[in-house]
Amino acid sequence: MKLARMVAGLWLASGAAISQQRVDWVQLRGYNYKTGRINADAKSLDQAMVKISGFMVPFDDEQSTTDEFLLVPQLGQCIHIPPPPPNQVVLVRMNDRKRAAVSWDRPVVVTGKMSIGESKNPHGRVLYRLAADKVDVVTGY
Amino acid sequence: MLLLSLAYQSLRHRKLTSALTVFSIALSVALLVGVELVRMGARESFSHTISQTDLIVGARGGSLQLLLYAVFRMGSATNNITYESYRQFAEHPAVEWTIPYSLGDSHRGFRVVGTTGDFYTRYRFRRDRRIEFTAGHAPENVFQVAIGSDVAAALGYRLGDAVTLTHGVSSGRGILDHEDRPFKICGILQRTATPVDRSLYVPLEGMEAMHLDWGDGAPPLPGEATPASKIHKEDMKIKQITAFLLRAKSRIDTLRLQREINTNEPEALMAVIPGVALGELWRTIGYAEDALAVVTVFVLVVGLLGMLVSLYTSLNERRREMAILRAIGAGPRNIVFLLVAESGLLALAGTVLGVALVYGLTWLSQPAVEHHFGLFLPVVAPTPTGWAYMSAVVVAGLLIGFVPAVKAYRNALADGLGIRL
Repeated sequence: MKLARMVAGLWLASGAAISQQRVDWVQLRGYNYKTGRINADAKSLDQAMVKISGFMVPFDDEQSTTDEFLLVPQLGQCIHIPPPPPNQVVLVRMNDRKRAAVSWDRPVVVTGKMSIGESKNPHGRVLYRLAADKVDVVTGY
Repeated sequence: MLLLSLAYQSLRHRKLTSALTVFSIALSVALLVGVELVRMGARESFSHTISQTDLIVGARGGSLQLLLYAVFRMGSATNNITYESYRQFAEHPAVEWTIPYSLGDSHRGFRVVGTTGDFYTRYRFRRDRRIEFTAGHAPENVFQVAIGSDVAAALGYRLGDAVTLTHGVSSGRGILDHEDRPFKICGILQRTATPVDRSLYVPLEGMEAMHLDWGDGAPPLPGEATPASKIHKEDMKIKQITAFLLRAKSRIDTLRLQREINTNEPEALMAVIPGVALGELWRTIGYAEDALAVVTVFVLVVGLLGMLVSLYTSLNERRREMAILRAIGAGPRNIVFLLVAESGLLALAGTVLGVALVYGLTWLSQPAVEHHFGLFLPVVAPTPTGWAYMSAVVVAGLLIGFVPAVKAYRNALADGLGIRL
């Protein structure tokens, strides 16, 4: 009985791991923010359950938890070059009134459902949104 | 149970020492919990002040300074920005809305903010709360002013009162008052428990009108000023503002917009994300907070040591008591339990009294602290850190009890019975 439960647990754990695609920032660049063309690799992310790591940029002045933030691949904004292009920024919103702990200098791994939208604005047409279930701070990197 | 009651009776027997010990522990616990409460209060008062704003824009300078003067009405700006630059970004296709602020004047220590109707409709705090009026409405004419609830309460103003604004920011009545152009109170804002309460709001045109004829930096001479009756909203040309709040159509554009504003030509502007700038502030203040925490821990250690000393020295007086207890059949374990229970009770009583003290004081001083320091001290359940401190004190009290307990346990039976009193 115990063994059966353990096996079931393992199976569930591995199943969950498979259903969340680990996403790389390069993959997001498959959506050209200037032309609006998208390659199959990036397109496959639409409505997919993903796991993506990056740094948080919180907006509001609440310092402990937040329900909406930007996820970017680099920490802070380097002033020598422009900020990450629209296809290198993900707008994360927490699901079901959940709140994520704000992490300033440690990267986070966000798990949730990615959707690709289009926005009409002068900076580009790409809009990656992520409805997040979980935000974990990466430790020991 | 019997031993517990014995411990209690024994403590009661030495009322004064026990009371003093409890009090010294209570003071250190109060300090420990109080510091935690103030720290939390400071953070709470700072957060929740501005919500749903993506960027704060002002003249180029320090990001923290911009955050402080634009949002918290602290410090002052080094430079204004031109109205043209403001319009350029207000009409930017990626921008949803903006709220302009024109700062620099005061009224009896309260800041005067020149703004537009957008402030009353767009400004959000505490996630999604908006500005509301307890009385009256937003200013419509040049010489109308809406006042924050703290201003109304502190100065006893009511609708229809005329107020004179002071040039510059002083903490009381000024010398250079805009006396010739008084403002009429048309609205009183509902309490927000944020710096919004401590300001007066005039239209941007009012701010310009106030400084009309001040061309060379000094007020117009009597007779030279344009009479207030001749100043109309339509005629006032706004030349400059101090800062503005901005919301992007899509938050994803924030970083790009920030870059665009920061590299703006020809006027040097600066944009900061409120959350990020405040995070910087906390990390700066973090050191001071840590230092304070270290000091309070030392105070607590001193309090506990005081308890140890008083228990330990009392042992000398109680050699006979211990010996009698042993003689009537109390084992070494009972003796240890008795003394540990005594110190545990002292620590517990001290903690309870300390917490009661700090909450009582907070509750009593709350209005005064908020009025004088703008710091809202919340009377809320202790944080996990607070609980951890309290249990640490009780546990430390129990542990300390072992020191005299072991000593009493080691004392020979004859030691107590043999002494002459």
